[in-house]
Amino acid sequence: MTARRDNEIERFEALVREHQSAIYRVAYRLCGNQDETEDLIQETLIESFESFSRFRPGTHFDRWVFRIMRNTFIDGVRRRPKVRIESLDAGVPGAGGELQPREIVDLGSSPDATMMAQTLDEPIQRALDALPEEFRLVVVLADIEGLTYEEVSEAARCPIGTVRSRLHRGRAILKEKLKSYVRF
Amino acid sequence: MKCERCNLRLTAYLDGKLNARETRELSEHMANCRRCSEDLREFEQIRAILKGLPAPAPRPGFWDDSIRAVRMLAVQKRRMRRLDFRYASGLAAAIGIVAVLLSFPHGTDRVPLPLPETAINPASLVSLYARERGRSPLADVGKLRFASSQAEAADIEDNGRLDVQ
Repeated sequence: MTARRDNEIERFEALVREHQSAIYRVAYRLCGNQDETEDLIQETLIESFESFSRFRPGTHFDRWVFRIMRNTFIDGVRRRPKVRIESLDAGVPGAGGELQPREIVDLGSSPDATMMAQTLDEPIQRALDALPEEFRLVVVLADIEGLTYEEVSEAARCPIGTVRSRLHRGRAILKEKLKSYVRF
Repeated sequence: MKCERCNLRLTAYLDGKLNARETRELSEHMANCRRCSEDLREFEQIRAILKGLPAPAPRPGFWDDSIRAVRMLAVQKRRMRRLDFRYASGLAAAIGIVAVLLSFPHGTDRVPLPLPETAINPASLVSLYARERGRSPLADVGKLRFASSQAEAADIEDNGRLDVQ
């Protein structure tokens, strides 16, 4: 019994190590800060290990963990008090405390989206944070993690039609939010 | 196709999730609609920006700590299972002991009187039964009648105290 359990931990650890970057990436983009990301991952790993006997070897471990992470994340959001969401349209406080307009990046003159994403990481994360949690989950899984609609549907536990509409509305909201920063 | 209908399908169009007929309709509409083709380009840019987001880095040692936490949990659970088994065994033993104790007769009125195994003296037997007024377990009518007859034979005059029906 003990040997079997030890073996289970070894297998679990190996799979976590293999997929740790994807797990961290999704958790971080869902939470938006390091502390909550760490909490979400640790809770998810504990839940995952508890259910590890139900994981089918040969299937995608990261997709399986995302499904558990989704539940942990949504449950956590429901338990947390509502937070105030800052409008991206508002100015940012300057050194003297006065509000100043945000810096706007002209995407037309710099078409490298990757460079843009790196420059705008913080505003993009704030725009993601402003999305309803279920939309954020779908956008993160589809656009950041590159899952197919079918995989997102399974991880987010919703029909493919819902994935499609959430993704569309999520991207549309992001587009509007980021207009303050990016001139398309 | 109207712009509103086209706009709702732009994401699916971009991701190649529309059927051939819908794809053709949207392509035709956008060829003649600057606004919708601009929208499509913006959606495409948003998707590209999200895809290009830098990978966030965890603090050093985060994964080691997380794995250690899972290992500790596994060990704790194993200990808990062992404790549960011990508690269950102890509880079962305690219940058994209580059950055995409860199965014994208790209270003074239920303690059986000591009975002579052999060489019953009929006179003492009858007087004993009479004294106990039928409360003793010597309720063997045949035996008592026999004892009674023996007592009579022994010419014992104690009829007033004998209570055998």
